[in-house]
Amino acid sequence: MASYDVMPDVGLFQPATVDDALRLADRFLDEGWLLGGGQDTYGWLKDRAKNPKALIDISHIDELRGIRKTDNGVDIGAATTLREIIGDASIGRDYSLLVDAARRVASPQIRNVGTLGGNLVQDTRCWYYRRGLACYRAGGNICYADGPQAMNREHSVFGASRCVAVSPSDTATALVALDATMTIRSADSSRTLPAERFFVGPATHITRMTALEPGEMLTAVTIPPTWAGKRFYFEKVADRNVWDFALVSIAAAMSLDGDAVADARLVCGGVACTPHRLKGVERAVRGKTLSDETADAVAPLATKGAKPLNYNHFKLPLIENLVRRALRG
Amino acid sequence: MDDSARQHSGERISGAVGTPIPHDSAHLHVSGAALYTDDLPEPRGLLHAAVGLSPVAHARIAALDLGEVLQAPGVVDAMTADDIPGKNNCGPVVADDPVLAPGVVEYAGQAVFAVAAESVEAARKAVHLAKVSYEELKPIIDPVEAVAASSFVLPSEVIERGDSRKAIDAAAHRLQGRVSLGGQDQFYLEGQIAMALPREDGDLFVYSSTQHPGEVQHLVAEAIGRSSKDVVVECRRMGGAFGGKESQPALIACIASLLAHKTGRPCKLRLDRDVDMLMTGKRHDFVIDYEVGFDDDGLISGIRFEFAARCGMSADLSGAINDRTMFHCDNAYFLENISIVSHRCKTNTVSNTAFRGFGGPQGMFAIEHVIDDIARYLSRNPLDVRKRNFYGKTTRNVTQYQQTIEDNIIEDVVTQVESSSDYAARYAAVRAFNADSALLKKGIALTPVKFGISFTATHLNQAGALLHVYTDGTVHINHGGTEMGQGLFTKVAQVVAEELQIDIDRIKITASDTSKVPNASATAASAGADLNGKAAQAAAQTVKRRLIQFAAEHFNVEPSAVRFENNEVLVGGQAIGFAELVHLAWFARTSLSATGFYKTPKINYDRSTFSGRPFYYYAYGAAVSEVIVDTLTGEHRLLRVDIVHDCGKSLNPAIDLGQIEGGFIQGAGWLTTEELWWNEKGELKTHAPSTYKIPVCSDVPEEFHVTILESQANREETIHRSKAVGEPPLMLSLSVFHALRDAVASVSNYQVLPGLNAPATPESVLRAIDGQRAAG
Repeated sequence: MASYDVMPDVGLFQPATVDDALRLADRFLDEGWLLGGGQDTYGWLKDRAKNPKALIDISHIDELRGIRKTDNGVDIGAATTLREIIGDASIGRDYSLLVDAARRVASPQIRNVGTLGGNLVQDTRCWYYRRGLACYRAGGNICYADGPQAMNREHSVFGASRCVAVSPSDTATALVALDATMTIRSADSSRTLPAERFFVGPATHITRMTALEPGEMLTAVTIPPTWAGKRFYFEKVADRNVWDFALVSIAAAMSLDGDAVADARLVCGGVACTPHRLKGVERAVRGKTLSDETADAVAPLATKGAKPLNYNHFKLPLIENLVRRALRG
Repeated sequence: MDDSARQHSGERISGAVGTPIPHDSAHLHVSGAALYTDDLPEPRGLLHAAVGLSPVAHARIAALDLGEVLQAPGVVDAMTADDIPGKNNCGPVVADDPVLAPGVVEYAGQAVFAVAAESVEAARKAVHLAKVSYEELKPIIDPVEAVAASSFVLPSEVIERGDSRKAIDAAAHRLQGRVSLGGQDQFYLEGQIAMALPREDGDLFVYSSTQHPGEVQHLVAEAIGRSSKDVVVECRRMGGAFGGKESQPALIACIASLLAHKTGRPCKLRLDRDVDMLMTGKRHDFVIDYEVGFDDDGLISGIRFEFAARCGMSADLSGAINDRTMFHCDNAYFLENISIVSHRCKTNTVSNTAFRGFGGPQGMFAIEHVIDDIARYLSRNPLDVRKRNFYGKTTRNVTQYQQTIEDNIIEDVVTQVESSSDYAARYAAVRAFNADSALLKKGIALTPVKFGISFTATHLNQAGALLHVYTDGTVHINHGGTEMGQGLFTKVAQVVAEELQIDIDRIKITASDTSKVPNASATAASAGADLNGKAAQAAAQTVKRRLIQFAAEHFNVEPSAVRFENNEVLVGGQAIGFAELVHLAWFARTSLSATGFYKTPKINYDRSTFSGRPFYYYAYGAAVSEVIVDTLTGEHRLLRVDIVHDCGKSLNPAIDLGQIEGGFIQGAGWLTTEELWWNEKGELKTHAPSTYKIPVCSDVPEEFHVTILESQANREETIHRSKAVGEPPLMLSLSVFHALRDAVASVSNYQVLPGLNAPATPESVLRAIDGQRAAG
């Protein structure tokens, strides 16, 4: 018997190879749904807010799983679980930023089955959108979160364009900070994008969070050696210590020249529709020594241009405070 | 002798009173085999219901057109208030709670109409096809607004003792303040659900997830225009209730029953989480004003409280809940000159209801807050000020409602936890840590609990039980209590096992059923085991007396020579198996079935003057919590908790330990992460776990030391001298809130009173820290 809060009738394909998966993705296009760990998927389906015809389960495709060291850094298959990443010694040694971020995702149970790819391409948590309301992001012509009565304490302070939803991914901020490259494949082509351009805001494409076109699949993430073993900082602020999305998070990668910062990439999560680079802070901190004074001096730059909504002004001091902590000596 | 008796000869029965046996359904809970209402096999032709909710807080329904709803695929029927054959009411005390809105809606989330369809999906989809037009009226949302407008569900109440005004004016020091305290959703894992099955001749059988089957029975009967004899309500277990299933299930059961009655087909209504949270009541949130006068030691000479509780659109249980607030705003302290004003505010929000503690936590929050303020104002250790104000044992021992406290052990309890937690040294260590730590700050607090046990409405303190003994020596026990995971059924079975001296696995625990035990009170007020344990014991004693009588005659001995012991009955010098004796007794035509009844003695209380003895006894406890706060983000963690809690002589220490731990963590959730947020239009916006955040496993502190103060037998003659344990431990969590205040206060080097409201979410902690910096 059909029941509104259990799974709907939906086709399930379990291809054994990436090529087969891509052929299915190509066949179903918008009506297909790539299924990784399922941790974002099942909620959508149970609520009938998304109604794909077919689930294409890629979680058991060997090519998509595992962590491989190469000359160009490290390749991580998109279906690698967060637990596997957290437990990987070489990532822990060279790119602990990603481990720190992955460790803060949801709960142990979810990290055991949730995949890196799934964490990166997961949809926004905007409650209005997830309830299946016809907002801009769902193809409608209104934003329910950006109104005087709306609950928007979780929403964006940067880069809104009609939609004020934020990127919920913890690992996305880390991978943008590490300047990772995304490998994207479709049935007949393959391309790569820098992580920063993989995530798209509402001004670019209001119904998507990433650059993936229908029929395309994120197959792997490559972290370049540029930042291997550098100084990292990750912190996530949430209402609850675990099993919660970030109100604000920060991922920072810094290379030092003596005591001074040679280069830095600082990325905030939970504040914009994409991982949000703090370029003003990055510029200002170059050449400076990490210290409380430097932190206090540059932190206010992090919120320059921020446009808080009715109920999320509290995010501004949080952003600045996280920058402070990232840059303390 | 039967086998079982031989096997256990010389040992104690299994499951005796006081043994820490597991919950009777633990193996079913963990394996998923326990049947909750939604797991029951669905009867042929079952319809599924869905409810159309009001989207607005206050409006006249100008037009209501269900035409398209009825045309929708799978829909069988629909109904509005006009289709209710009996009374349109599911209010437990006052008849002001309509099942379906009768022309006016009074909160966003109120049930306006109901649909029955062949599937849950069809019913829920069809709901959205209704055409309802609302003429909006001005809503009153918050309690302060309600007080200004004199909008009340029940008259305001006052308790006065002495002359608080004069005492405050004459005091060496005075403080006043206002603090707001959020509500809490019960967040039972199993949502509200009922399944109604028509029986012959218009009768109904209703499965309901309810703490109060009797009330569901009466209200369903009235709604369908029949009498109580025509309706039977059954509940084997609930997946959590916490007070949220004391009065609220009547609404769910009435809707399912009305649709079953109308269509002649069985009907099930199961709310999804969002609808459940929008539609059903929660813990009352309060705005509390206080004024207090005290001396240099912090001894309170006079105090005035004004409570404004958001009751929502109807009275529900708000009268008794707010009475309990007035009875607990002393907590463990003697308040000689006191004035309490309690407003029961009518607001256009969901009608708030029972939740573990039942108004007590809010009253205790108030006095603990005042004491904490006094200590900070005087730069004293808050524990010293607490102790200075404790009730005495022989003097200073009369409450503001004129009950003399006869069982005061608060100092023993506090002394024990003070020492086991090493409070004094850690209090100093926290201050030393804070002096050296710029960004992370620690806080520590010890708070006591004294909680009155009994329903304050005296007539509810009664219970019944029904016990059958079968010829194979096994027993069927039934009583008016309900099982919500708290272990009541296990405890009652232990009482029966003890009384009949048989192993607990010979006793069948059975579903609460209005046709077995009538007119039972709700399983509430922590009194489930106290009341039903005694009633079951009385039933067992009746059968036992008959067996003794029979044995004496049969074996020709004096009745005093018959003794029940470890699955055997000793008759003179001879032992006979329990089953063997039962079989002989049956053969000799002895009745092996009995009812039992119990009413709590000694209590007597006059509500018109708020005086007398509302409580049979008090349960005590104390907790020390230590927290660490990140002053850059407001995030905090509970580092260590030490609890000493009084269970009298525990019926089952394993179950009581679970209640203490669970109650404490649930209370910590109430005071920290759980935030009910209404917008200005009165729409609840935190109505799912995505935005409403209950504690999870990782929020349990790594160091969590719970000690049951077990040797202390209840001085009253309760069931095996045990004490109630359901609600009291929740309030131990006040120590978490005050530890957070302590940490926040350290930002101004303890110079500024922390302006921290509850819940102390990271956002509100950060705001309080900013307040410290701005004022410091």
